[in-house]
Amino acid sequence: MIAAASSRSDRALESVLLVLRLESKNQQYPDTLKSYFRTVIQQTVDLLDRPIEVASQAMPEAVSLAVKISSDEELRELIEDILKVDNISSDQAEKALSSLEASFDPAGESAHFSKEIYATI
Amino acid sequence: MTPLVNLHILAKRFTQLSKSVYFDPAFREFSQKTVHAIQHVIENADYYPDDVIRQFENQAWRVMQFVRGSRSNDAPHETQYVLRKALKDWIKSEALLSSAALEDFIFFLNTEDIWDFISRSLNRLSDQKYKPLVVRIGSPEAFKHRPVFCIPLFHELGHFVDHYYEISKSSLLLSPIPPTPPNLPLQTWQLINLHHRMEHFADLFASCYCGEASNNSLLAIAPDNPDSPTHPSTKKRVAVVGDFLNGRANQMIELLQQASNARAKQQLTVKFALPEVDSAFNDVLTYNITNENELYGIFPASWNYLHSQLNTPTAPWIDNELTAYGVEKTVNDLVEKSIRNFEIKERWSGVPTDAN
Repeated sequence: MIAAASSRSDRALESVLLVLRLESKNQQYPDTLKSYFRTVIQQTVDLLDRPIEVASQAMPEAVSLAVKISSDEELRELIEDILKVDNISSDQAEKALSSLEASFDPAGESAHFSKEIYATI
Repeated sequence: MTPLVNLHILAKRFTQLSKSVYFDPAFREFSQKTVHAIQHVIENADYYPDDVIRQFENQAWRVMQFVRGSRSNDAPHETQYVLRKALKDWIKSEALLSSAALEDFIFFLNTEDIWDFISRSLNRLSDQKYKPLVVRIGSPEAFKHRPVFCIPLFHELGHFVDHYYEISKSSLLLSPIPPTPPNLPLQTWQLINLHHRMEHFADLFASCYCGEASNNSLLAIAPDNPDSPTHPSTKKRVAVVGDFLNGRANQMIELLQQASNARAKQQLTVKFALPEVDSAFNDVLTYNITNENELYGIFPASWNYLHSQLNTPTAPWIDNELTAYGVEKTVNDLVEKSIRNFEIKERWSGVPTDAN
């Protein structure tokens, strides 16, 4: 929106969250979705390690996930662990899911910050 | 209201909508293929997990607004024609444009990627290569014939391009944010910085096509808005665009250019050329737009013309009887017809002749 009016939804990670939800329930799901998820998290980890080198080829979802993870060390470790194993445990999936779903949304938050804070942007 | 029952209802609804006389053939194909995908999910409900079916259903509900909007006769056609050209500068695939005529002072552009979801989640469906870019443009219905007042849509197009390539988000990875202020969670600080960069990108994008009119429309809507978690202050936004248009160095512009280059393989550059509309408009004649640069430039040129005539009327057609409404209506009408003439000429020159 050109001026503050309504919230901005970010659905870029919808399919990533879907996979984590399915994994947390130990459900079977299409291989195409599995391979999509693997590609996204691999690119996410690569982006965090080598952003300048990887930024031009990464999927938009990987960029979104990398940004979320870059400010959450625990989630980053979790995603890196998921990447190392062939089968995600339901516990890993559940933790990653709840962490990703609990993101702060300033559009819906009545937060007020001082002028000094904004001056640093 | 279970997902399967809803999918039956959705299939029916998509079919009904696609039978409209005014339906765009590309949207008819989109509807038919979506109905086919819905029927596929209904027939394979035992194979796909419930969560996949539910997400597919959610996307089908959302995309229905796009299909419905594609039949609308309430869209600002001429502005959409120019937006489509600007979009083509950045995204080569043909876009299916839908519109929402709003009884509110709001502008937006959004998209739905139901066919991306289908290609990665419905592995038993054969039609996997169909991935149209579907875009919905929302603007006040009252501005349907007021292209000069639809300039904020270029800002919204900027958000759309940003979202498509995740340019602002990439900038966070390529150019770190300033140190987090005390007592503020890093995630919060990061998100505020992201939203501010997104607004600056959209402003810069709009200024590539509409120049100073991008700032002028912002100043008309939100003249002195302060910083907020979702938007930089108007003062900061206007200053960044001013630096861009005047070629002054600015850290925000540099980091967004770097990200734009990395993700979209191009930088933000000025695309408009200001046409000299005064002479034609003073005679209540349309301006003969000669190229795409002028097609974009007619927005800032006519913004300037309109506001100078509102402030100090000098055009021969403005007398004491004419109200501000009459002035803006006439100028908007001239701009709309100038763009339409350009479009007609373009279509005409694209028609194959049967000389051979």
